[in-house]
Amino acid sequence: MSSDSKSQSTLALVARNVVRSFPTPAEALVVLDGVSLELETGATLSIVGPSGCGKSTLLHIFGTLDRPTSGEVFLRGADPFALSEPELAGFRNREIGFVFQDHHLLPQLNVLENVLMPTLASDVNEEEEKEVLERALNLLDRVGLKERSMHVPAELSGGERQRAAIARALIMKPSLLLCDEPTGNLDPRTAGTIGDLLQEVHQNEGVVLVVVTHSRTLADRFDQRAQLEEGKLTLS
Amino acid sequence: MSLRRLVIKSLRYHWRLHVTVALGTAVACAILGGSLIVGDSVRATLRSLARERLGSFEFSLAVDRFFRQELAQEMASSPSYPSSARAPVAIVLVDASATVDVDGERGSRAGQVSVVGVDEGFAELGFSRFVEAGGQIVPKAGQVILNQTLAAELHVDPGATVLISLRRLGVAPLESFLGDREESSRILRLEVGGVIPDRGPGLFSLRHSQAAPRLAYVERSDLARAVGAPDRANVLLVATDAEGGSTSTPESSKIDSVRAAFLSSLTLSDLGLRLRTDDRGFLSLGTRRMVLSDATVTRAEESCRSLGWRTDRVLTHLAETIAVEGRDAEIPYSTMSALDPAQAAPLGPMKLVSGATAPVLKEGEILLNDWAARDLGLDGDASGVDIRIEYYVPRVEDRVSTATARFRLRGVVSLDGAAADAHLTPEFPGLTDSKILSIRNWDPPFDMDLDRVREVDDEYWKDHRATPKAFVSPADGIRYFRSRFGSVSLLRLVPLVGEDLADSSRVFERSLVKDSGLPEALGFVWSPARERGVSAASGPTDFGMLFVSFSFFLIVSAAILVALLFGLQMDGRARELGVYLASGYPLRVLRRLYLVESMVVASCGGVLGLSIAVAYAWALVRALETVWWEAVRVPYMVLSVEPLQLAVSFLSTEIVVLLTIWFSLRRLGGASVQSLLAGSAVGKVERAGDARAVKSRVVFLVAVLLALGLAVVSYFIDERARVGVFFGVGSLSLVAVIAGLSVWLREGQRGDLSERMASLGDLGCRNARRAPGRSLLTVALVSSATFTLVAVASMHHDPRHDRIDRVSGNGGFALAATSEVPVVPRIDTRVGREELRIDRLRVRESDGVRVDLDWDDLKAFYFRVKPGDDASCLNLNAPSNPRLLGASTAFVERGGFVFSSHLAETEEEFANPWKLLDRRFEDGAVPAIGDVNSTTWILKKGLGDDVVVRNETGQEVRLRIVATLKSSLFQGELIVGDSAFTSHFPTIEGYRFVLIELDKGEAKTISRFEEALEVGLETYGFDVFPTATLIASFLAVENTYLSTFQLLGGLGLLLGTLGLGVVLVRGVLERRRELALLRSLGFERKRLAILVFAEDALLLGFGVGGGAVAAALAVWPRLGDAAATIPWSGISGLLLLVVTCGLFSGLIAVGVAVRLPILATLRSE
Repeated sequence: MSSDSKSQSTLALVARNVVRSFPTPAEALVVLDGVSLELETGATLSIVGPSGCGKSTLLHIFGTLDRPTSGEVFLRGADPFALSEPELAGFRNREIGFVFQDHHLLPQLNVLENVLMPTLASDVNEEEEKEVLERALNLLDRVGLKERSMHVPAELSGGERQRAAIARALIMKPSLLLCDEPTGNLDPRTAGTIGDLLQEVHQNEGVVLVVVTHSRTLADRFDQRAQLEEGKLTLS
Repeated sequence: MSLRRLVIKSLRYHWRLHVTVALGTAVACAILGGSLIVGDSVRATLRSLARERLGSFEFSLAVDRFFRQELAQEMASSPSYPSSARAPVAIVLVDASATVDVDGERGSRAGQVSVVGVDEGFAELGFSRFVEAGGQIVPKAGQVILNQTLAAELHVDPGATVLISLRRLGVAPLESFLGDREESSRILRLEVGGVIPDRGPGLFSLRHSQAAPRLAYVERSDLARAVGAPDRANVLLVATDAEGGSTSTPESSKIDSVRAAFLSSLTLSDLGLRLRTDDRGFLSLGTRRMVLSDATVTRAEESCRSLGWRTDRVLTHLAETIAVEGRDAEIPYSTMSALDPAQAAPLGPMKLVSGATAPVLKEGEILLNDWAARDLGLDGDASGVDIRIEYYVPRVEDRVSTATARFRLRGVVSLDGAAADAHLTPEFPGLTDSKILSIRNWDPPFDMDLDRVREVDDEYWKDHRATPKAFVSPADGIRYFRSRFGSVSLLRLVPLVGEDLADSSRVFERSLVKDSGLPEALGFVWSPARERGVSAASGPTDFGMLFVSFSFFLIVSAAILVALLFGLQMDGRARELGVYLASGYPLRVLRRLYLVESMVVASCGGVLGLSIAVAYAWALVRALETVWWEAVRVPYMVLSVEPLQLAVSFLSTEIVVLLTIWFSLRRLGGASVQSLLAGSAVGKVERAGDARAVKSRVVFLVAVLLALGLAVVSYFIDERARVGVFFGVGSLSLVAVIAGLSVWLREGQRGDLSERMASLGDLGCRNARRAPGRSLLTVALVSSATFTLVAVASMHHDPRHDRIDRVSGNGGFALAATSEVPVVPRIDTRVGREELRIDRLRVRESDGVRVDLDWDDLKAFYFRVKPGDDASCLNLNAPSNPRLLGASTAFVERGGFVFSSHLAETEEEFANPWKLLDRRFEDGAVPAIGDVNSTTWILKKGLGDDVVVRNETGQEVRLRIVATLKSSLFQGELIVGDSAFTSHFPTIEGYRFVLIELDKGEAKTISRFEEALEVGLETYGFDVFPTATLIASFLAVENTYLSTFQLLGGLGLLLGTLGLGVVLVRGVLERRRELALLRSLGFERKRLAILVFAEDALLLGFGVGGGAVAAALAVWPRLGDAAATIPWSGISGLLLLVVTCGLFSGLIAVGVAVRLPILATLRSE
C-alpha cells in the first residue's frame, strides 16, 4: 500500500501505523493495531470486517472525529490532528463528508435545509449563498429528491433519507466522502440504488470514497477492497 | 437558509422542551420581580401614609408645654410669615387612654390614644378634601370623633359614651413636694359623635409610624381646659397648598420664614416665664412651674451679660419648721430663701436690726427676720444660736418627706427693705394669688397639720403674705433645696442705671426669645414634618431585599430547574449535536447557536415571568393587607409596579438563566461525536468520572470544613453578621451534600441490604448513577426546599410557652404596664398604694366572689419614658428619635434578661451587664442598652455604636450601645440609666412604664393583678398586660415573616417535586427498553415499582436528609439560645410533607414505568 515513489501531494489520504486502543479496567483494548493506508485522489475503497472489528473507529479517525492513540494520518498532505479544535472543525467542514448508517437528518429542517446545514458552519457571503443553494438543488436533483426538497425527514422513506444524507455530505465539495454502513438499514433494492448513487457522485465529484460495509455486494462496487480483522487492515 | 432560520426552526420543533425551560425562567423571574415589587410597594405605601397623615401640613412644632393659642394668628400677621403658606393652626395634642362606659360599667379599653383638640381651622386648612367631601373632624361640645382603629378597638359606634383619661398639668413638677399627684389626671366623659375612616385625618400623627394611630378628636378649647391649659395649645401646624401631594423638599427659606414669624410673635408667657417689674429698679424672671430650668437661667444670664446687666439668683423653699435647737418654740410652714443678702442696691442690701448691712452668708449660716427671731424668743443679739430647719425634700420618691438642716444664726434682719419682699416666693396658684386670709385656708398637695398654724402665723400671712422668714447662702440653697428641675426660683435682673424699666423689660424679652436660643432649648423647634415623614418612609427594612434574600434558595431552585430542564433538552438533542460536529461546526458556533436559542426562550420566559411577578406581588400585597397584616400593620397597601424593578428582575433573571445555560453548554465539549451520534450525551463525561469524583471530594471536604467553621464563628459575632453566616452555612452545607452525593454516585458503592432487596434496590439506585448530573440537580432542588422549610420552621417561636424566668426574654417579669399619666407613688409600697387609693382593691373572680390581693407578692420596677418613635420591628419607618426608658438603680441592681452581646470589662459587669448603664465615657456618651433586633435591624447599630438623639435643651446626646438583649420585651426602645435620663430630660416627670414581678407566677395571680391595676389606676390610663403578650406582639411580626418565607419554601418544594418527577419520568422513558425487557423476563409490575422507587427514595433521602442537616447547621446559633424553642413537631410535619411530595413524584414515574407496553417498546429496539 505504501509507495515512496508517489509524492505525498498526490495522495488524498495517508494512514501510517495507526493504533487505537481504549483503556479498560483490565488492560487496554486494542481495536486498530498498526493500520497503514494510502489512497490517491479519486480512489474508492470499501472496508469490510466482522462486527466490532474497528471499521467505524477507523472511519472516524479518517474523518477526524476520533484521534489515533498512535500513528499518523494525513489528509491531502496535511496532518489534521495538528490543528486546533476550531481549525479542525473548519477542516472537517471543508474536506470531509459523512454518510452514516442512521441518516441523522435534523427533524426540524426540511430536506433542502438539511442539505444546506453544513454551509452555515462557516461564514458565507451573499454570492456564495446563491451558489450553495444552486448546488444544493442540483445535488437534490441528482439524488432524485428535488420534488421532495420541502419535505421534512419524517415524511421520507428510509432510502430517501439516506439520499438526502448523501446530498448533505457533498454540499461542501469534500475531498473525502466517508460512508459508515450507508445501506445497513435498507432493503437490498434500495441499498442497490444507494450504491449506484455513491458511484455516480464519486465519478461526478471526484472525491475519495471510503465505505465501511457488511455488504459484499456494495463492497464489490469499489476500486479497492480491504478487510479489517483483529486490528489489521489487509487489501484484498 | 441562515443560522437565524436554523434557530427559528429549532425553536419551533423543540417547542415543548423550550416551554419547560421558559416556565422555569418565568418562575425565577416572577419570584425575583415579585419580591422587588413587594419591596417597592411597601415603600410606596409608607410614603403615601406619610403624606396622608399630615394632610396639607408641611411644618410642625410640637412641645410638651403649652403656649397661647393666639400665637398662631400673631404669626400669620407677622411680616416675615411666608405668603405661600396658609395661616398656622394651633392644636392640642396629648396622649391618653380611652374606656367605654356602658351604664356605669367599664367596657373595652385602649391605651396610647392620641387626643387631638382641634377647631375648624385644622380641618379646613389641613384636610380640606375630607371636609369638602362632607367629612367631619371637629366634634360638637361634649362629643368626640374617633378614627376607625380606635372605634374598632373599643367596639363603639356613634352615640356610645367614652371616658378619656389624660394628664392634667400641675403647677409644680409631679415629683416635687408641691406636685399635685392627686389632681394629675382628668377623665373626660364624652359621647362618640362620629367615626371617621383610617384615611386622611383618620391617620393624623406627628410620629413616624405606619400603623394607624388610635385617634380621638375633641373640640380644642374643651381639651385645653381639661388638661389645665385653657386657651393654650401645644402644637402648631403650617399648611401648604398641596394636600398630601408634595414630596419636594421644602425650601429651607420657607421654614426659616415660618421660624422668624414664630419668634417675632413668641412671648415669655409662651415659654412659661413671667417677667415682673419691681419698682425698686429691677426685673424678676420667674416661672409658672416654681423653678426655672437650668437652660432658662443660663440663657437669661447670657442675655443680661450681653446687655451689661447684673443678675442675682434666688431659690425660695418651704420649711415645715424653723426652730432654735434645744428649745420648744418653732414656727410652722414658712418660706425661706437662698440668696446673697449683701447684694448692692436695688436688690439689697438687707439691714440687720442693729442697722448694719447684712453680711455675705457663708455655708451653714442663716439670717432670720426680726419677726421670726422674736417669735422664737431670740431677743437682742442672738448670733451663734443653732437654728434647726425642717424642710420639704424637693424630690418626692414615694411620699412627701422632710429633712433637717442645721444652721448657725449669723444675725437678724429687719423686716423691711430687701428683706420684706413677698415676691421672693414664686407665685403658687391657690396660695400667693388668692385672697385667702389665713394660711389655714391653703390646700397644699401634701399633708399639712393645720393645728400647728397659730394666730400669729395668720397675722404674718395677712401682713407679709409669703415673705421669707429666713435666708441662707446660695450654696446651702443648692445643697438642700435644689432638684433636677432647677436650682433657681427667681432670677433678678438689674438693668443699667437710668434705663427705663418698661423698656428694659421689652428689650430683655426680645433678647431672650429671639437671640438667646432659649425657645429651641425648651423644645420649640420647627420641623419639616412632611419631608421627614417621607424620608423616614424609606424605612429601616428593605422589604424587597428581605423577600429576595428569603427567596434566594427559591430563585436558586428555579435556576437549578432551568439547568435540569435544559440539560435534559440537550441530552435529547445529542444526535443533532453530533451531526453538527460531524459537519464541521466549531464548538463556539454551536454554543452560540444554542445560547441564542436559549436567549429567545429565556426572554419569552422572562416576559411571562414579569406578568406572573405582578400577579404574585399583587397576591403578596393583598396578603400583607390581610393574613400577613402583622408583618406591616398598615391601614392599606399600595401596589407599586415600577418599570425599573421589572427591568432589574428581567435582566437579573436573564443573566442567571443564561449563565446557568452557558454552564450547561460547557458539557458540549466533553462528549465525543460518536457517543453523541449514538444518542448519548454521556460518553467522555463518564470517562472523566474519576477526576470529577476527586474534585467532588475536595469540594465536599472544603464545604464541610467551612460550614462547620462558620457555624462555630456564628457564636461569636453580632446579629447582623449572623444573617450572612446563616446563608453562608446553609449554602455551604448544601454544597457539601451535593458534593458528597457526587462522590458516592461516581465511585461509591451501596451498603448492605437484604439479599433479595439488594439486587433489585441496587439496580434502582444504580440508575441514579446513569446521569449523575441530573441526580445531583434533583437532590439540590429537594434539599434547597427542605432547607428553607426546616430552617424557617425552626425559627418560629411562641413566647406564650416561655416560663417567667429572670434569665429569659421576659426577665422574670410577669406583667408590664404603661400609663398615659406619669405615676409617682409606688404600687409595691403600702404608702404608695394608699396615695394611689388602690390599697383596698379587691378583684371579682369568675364565680362572683371578691378576693383580696396579696400585695406582698408584687415587686414593681419603674421606668421613666421619653416618648419617641417606636424602635421595634412593628415600625417600618426609620425611627429618627427612638423612645427612651430611664432604668432605676433598683432595676439595674436586680439584673436579669438574656444578653446577646455586651462590652463588659469588670467582673461585676460580666455578672450583671445592666451595670454597664453606670459606666462613664470620657467623651460624654451615655451608655444605652437595647434589644438586638431593634439595634441591629431598626436602628442599624452594633455594639459600641452611637445613636444620636437630642436632649431637652436641643443638644445632641450620643447614646452608646453597651449591651444588647436577646428576644426581650424591650424591643421598642433604648434604655439608659436613670441619672443620665434625668440629667438630659429633667422636666420629664414620673414613670410611665412599670415592670411587675410576682412571687407567685400562676396564671390566676397574674390575671388578678392585671385586672386590679387596670381598674384601680384607670385615671392614670394604666394599661397592664402580660409580658408574654408584649413579646408575642413583636414576635408576631417575625413569625409572620417566617410564614411568608415558609410559603416561599413551599413553592421551592413544588419546584423540587417537579424536578424530581421530571428526572424520574425521563429516566424511566430512557430505560423503557430495559424495563420492557425485565417485564418480558417475568418481572412483576410491583418489582418494577420497587426498582423505580429505589431511585426515588435515594434522591429523596439525600435531598431531605441533606437539606435538614444544612438547616440544622445554619440555625446552630439558635439551638443554644435560652430563648429559643424549636418546634420539633412542626418540623417533623414539614419533613413528612416533603417526603410525601417526593414519593408522589416517584409514584408518577412508577405509573409511567408499569404502563409501558412490552412488545411495542421491545420492537422499537
